[in-house]
Amino acid sequence: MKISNMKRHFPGQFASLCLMVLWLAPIASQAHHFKGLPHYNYFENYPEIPEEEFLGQAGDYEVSLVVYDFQGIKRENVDDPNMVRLFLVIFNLRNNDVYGGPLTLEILDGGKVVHREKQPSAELENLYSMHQNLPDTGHYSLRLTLHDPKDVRCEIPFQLSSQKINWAKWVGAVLLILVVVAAVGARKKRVAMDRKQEAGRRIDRNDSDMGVPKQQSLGSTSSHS
Amino acid sequence: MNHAAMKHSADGHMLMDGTPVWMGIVGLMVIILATHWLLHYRKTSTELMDYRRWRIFRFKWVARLVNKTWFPLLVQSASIFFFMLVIAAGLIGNDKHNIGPVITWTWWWVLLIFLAMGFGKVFCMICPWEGISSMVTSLSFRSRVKKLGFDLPWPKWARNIFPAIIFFIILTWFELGRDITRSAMWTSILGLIMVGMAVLSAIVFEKRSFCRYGCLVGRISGLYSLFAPLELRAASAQVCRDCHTKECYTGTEASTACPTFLFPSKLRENSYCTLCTECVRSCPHDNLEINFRPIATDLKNKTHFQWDESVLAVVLLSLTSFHGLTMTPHWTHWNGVIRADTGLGASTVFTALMGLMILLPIALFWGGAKIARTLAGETNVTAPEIFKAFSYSLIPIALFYHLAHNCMHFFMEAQHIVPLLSDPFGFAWNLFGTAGKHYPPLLSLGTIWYLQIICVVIGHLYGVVMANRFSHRLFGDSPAAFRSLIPLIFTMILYSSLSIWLIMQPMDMRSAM
Repeated sequence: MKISNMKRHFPGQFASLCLMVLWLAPIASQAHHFKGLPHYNYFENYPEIPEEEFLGQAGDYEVSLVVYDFQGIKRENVDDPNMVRLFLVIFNLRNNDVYGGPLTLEILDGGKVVHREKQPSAELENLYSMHQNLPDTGHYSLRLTLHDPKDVRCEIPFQLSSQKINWAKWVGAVLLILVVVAAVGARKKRVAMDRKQEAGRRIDRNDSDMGVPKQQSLGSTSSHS
Repeated sequence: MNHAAMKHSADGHMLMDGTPVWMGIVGLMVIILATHWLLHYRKTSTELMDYRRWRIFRFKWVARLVNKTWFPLLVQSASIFFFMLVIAAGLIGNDKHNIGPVITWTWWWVLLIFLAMGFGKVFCMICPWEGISSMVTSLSFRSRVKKLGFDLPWPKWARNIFPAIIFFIILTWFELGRDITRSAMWTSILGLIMVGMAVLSAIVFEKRSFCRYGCLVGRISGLYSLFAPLELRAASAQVCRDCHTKECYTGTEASTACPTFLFPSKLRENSYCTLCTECVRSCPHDNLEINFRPIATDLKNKTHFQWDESVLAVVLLSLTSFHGLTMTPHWTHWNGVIRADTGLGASTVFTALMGLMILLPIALFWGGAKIARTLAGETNVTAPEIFKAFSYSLIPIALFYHLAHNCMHFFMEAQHIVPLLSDPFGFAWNLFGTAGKHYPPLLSLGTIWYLQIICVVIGHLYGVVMANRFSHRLFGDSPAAFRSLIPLIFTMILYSSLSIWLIMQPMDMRSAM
């Protein structure tokens, strides 16, 4: 069908189609690679190295801190079990760019600086990394200062995998207690109601045996509403 | 694996290419042209359909099996096992390398929609939460008759599905805003909360009030089941009329009454039937049966429109689209710009945008209903009635976009469960020798693209057919019926365009594993 015919017979639909094409066409060229990446998290690299991510924000920058401290591996088999590796990607929220300039990194334990490093630029793939022995008794945070162009600072609290609390156990325990308490109470109530009903039925049977006219028995209620 | 079609994002997620532009354009063209054809050339019937049924109980062994008191335990045993596995994996396993999130979010949450479309409320039949709560309240593995319970009536103000809608919104917030799909601990916490709610409700309230009013999974699949080709109905109305004992409603000593307060002999739609089959076992005349039937039967025959269901239909549509939107790079960018401009945190911005995404479609649709009322001219039909009725026509659009979106996740990611079967808790086990192995996706990306476009187109066309039916049901055969459709059809095309645009975007894949 010619376009001119289409315009004549389906004006509304043709206009809609044109709009849709105009709307969709630029999307094809949209860039979608928008952040740097530590490659160790691809699922091809099985066994994947489990890690924990902590996010922070400093001005226009989002900071992604990834902590690796031998999650998923038996620490008894590791030479240096307290060795913790920290990886950072700093992403500009406005212009979809990754920061790769100078950075000062400080690891704090309970507010005290235990390690400081100044890195002039990012390493491979826009990544900053550092490693440090951190025992699991500390209260850690990472303070970083971006030096480009003026200093922008942010502090990201983080936990080691051994410090994490498994809240599922607590939730499970609380729910179990609630269910048991409710169930015991409900069972007692049901037994009491059933006894009351049975007593009412016995009275009715006795009455009918003695030839007493059947009356409405008081207090007999159905246990199933 | 087609590496050329994959990119990566900053937090280790795989980005999968969206459908090619030409496919999106073809899909839109089909939508627009077919909409025009359906509205102008296809005859609309508003008669209530009498339809053919294919009885599953024609196989006597199936009927005998369903009539066994242990039938619910049989069908629920596998789901209870997997549910307990998810809980255990979250309690004791490694949080990141764990089978729990993959079972829950890549298999169950995704396949639930396929199940709802193909088999209606069949997930409710195998529901582990219902199974566990029944065992607790009946103090038995086989019986469903309650031996404990306060049997309090569900509060009158909550006898609607707004509680379930609120739970659905909360779950979506956690799923997308807190990224719990990658955490075994949070996945098991959610599972514990769901089973806790089911059990406590069963103990406190009468029957299965939670299934009827509170369960977000049941309400979503209930709405989608209006489209499904499976039903449980009375075989003969005459038999029901002649029955004076109505055990399907009152129960017997061995089986319960309908737990969701339905009158099985008068059942006309799937929404609240959980396919528990208690009525099948209760009925002394074997008059209740499970049948296959034409798709969308309940939707076509819908005459009574409810506020709570219509709100859920719009919320479902907006949140399924929102789900897709949050997995695109555009979302990340918009989020980033707003955070940079306002200084607000990620959670705050996410919550605000999610709220906007829920309210905006409702407002848009409400506006459309008002315009439809104006265009209809002289009529007794009000804008709220138009809103309620036309909301149901969004159900196929929501369902099929949901399927299109889930296709990508399931057929690209489901194979990740295979290595995890050998090491479910991340303890470096290798139970079945599959740990460390990699398997390709179940379908190629090209095939998935075709499936997605086809799904969106089908959903839209069914939506148009339903909208047309409902408008004629409201306005009769008058020209007002067509005029009232105009804003709705425009909204539907807009929404289907958004769906196509969404599936054209690169997507952040759920499982980094």
